Amino acid sequence: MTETEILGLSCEGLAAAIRAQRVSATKAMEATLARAQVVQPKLNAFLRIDNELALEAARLADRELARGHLRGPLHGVPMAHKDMYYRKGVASSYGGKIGPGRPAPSTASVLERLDTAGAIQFGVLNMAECAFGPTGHNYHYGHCRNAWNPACITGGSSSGSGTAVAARATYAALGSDTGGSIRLPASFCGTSGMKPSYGRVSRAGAMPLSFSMDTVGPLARTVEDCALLLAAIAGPDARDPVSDPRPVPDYLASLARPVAGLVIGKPKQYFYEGCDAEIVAQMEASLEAFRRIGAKVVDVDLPDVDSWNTAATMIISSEAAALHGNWLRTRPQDYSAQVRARLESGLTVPAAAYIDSLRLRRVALEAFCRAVFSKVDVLHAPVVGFQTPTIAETDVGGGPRLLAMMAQLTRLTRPGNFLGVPILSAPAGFTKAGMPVGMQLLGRPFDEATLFALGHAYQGATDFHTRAPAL
Amino acid sequence: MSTPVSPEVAAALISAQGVTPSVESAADDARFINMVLGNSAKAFAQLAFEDEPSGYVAAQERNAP
Repeated sequence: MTETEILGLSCEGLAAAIRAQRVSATKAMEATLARAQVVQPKLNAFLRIDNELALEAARLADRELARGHLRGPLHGVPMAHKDMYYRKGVASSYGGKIGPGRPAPSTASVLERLDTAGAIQFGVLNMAECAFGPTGHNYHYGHCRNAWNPACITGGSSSGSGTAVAARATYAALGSDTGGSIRLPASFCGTSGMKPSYGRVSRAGAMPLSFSMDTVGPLARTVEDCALLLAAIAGPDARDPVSDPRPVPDYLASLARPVAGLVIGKPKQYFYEGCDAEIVAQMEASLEAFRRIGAKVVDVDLPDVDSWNTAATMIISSEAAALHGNWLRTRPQDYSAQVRARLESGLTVPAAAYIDSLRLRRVALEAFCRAVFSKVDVLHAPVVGFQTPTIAETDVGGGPRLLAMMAQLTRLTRPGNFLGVPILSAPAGFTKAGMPVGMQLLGRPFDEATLFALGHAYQGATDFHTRAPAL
Repeated sequence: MSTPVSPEVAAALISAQGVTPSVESAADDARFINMVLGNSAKAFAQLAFEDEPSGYVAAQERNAP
């Protein structure tokens, strides 16, 4: 296979090619490292690339395969991850100055599981400082740039994950999603992404931001790849106190589930308020594609989503301020002005308001499930209601513009974190300016399988996920 | 009718926790806390006396397929 052909494969495609020994893990790694070197000056996607270690691991994978030993379904697949997943003895940066100097005492459970599945980590990816920013700006390591237009934001906080996957510089990447941090870069960069149910994937060894809302999940080129990765990382983990004990369904088998007859809800409130006309048109087109593959689309009324968004904001702000409290007191100069200001705001939330926000979560989830899942199987909505802004447009410093911009960017994603439901993001089209547009599918708690079935069927009927940016 | 938090009060709250507020952020902090308290007041007023945070995990269980 040529280098271009290798780089054009999905995770599943490359893993199959390596298993069949049509391509070696070493050749795949060499191609990936070369691609990463080409795109890095344009996108600033990587914070570190481990060339020699990665090549050594790839050669080992080839030797193992030659002896008949297959580690798992991702044997030999190169991957890089958001720089907040701990690798024993290595200091993650957290996208800022707080992480360096804190070598990890143990490896993150999700990295251990990807290692077991055979994936090879070759680097770490840029991210918003402390995962606390929705744009992809980074004032310590340089802003991350969108592979479809480097003047535009990638979305954050998993900025490097989104743009590196889009640029074919990694086959997949772990992100994290506390207020939209997987779905925003997936949407802006034209990749697929899965924010799993709260508790479905272990957070052990992942940098925390808000322990009540943090989720760990994959960004990849296809929904099938997201299913492949989630299958590898999901499931109970004694190291994470909120890890859910239920067994993990066979996500790859769920891809083949028939979708004809499934009912998709289109929200009558909140998600389309003030939405850009081109985004509305792309959402309508994606709903039409779902109808063509046999799904039924109905309008659904939603409860008071706005208050959930606010409660989520209070939870994230309070918990982030508590987690960073010691460093805010002793090392305030080590934060960028924006992140420091946002962390400080969390110190103003009264304890009773924080607790009321947590108390509201049960009420919200019950109300949402009653209103939505008594009528439909999944809820369909845009990830953002506006076109991809430029880095310059969103470089607003502090003040009321910062608050407004942060609120606007996460307005359609944050309620899903409050509910803790699984949400799949997938490309749903392109704007006239040539930028990707993402949709999100929200499912019942722990029903990632239905989202994978629908998303995979959708990608079988459309080609948006196959398009790659010219770089 | 609630009284808005002033920038001075917001700064004092932050200082009382041992953090030196960034000079330019007191007005933002006040704006933030007034916004979130205002937007959530109605929903919080409707919470039942018995509602507690751990109810969320049970709700996940009840609504899973």
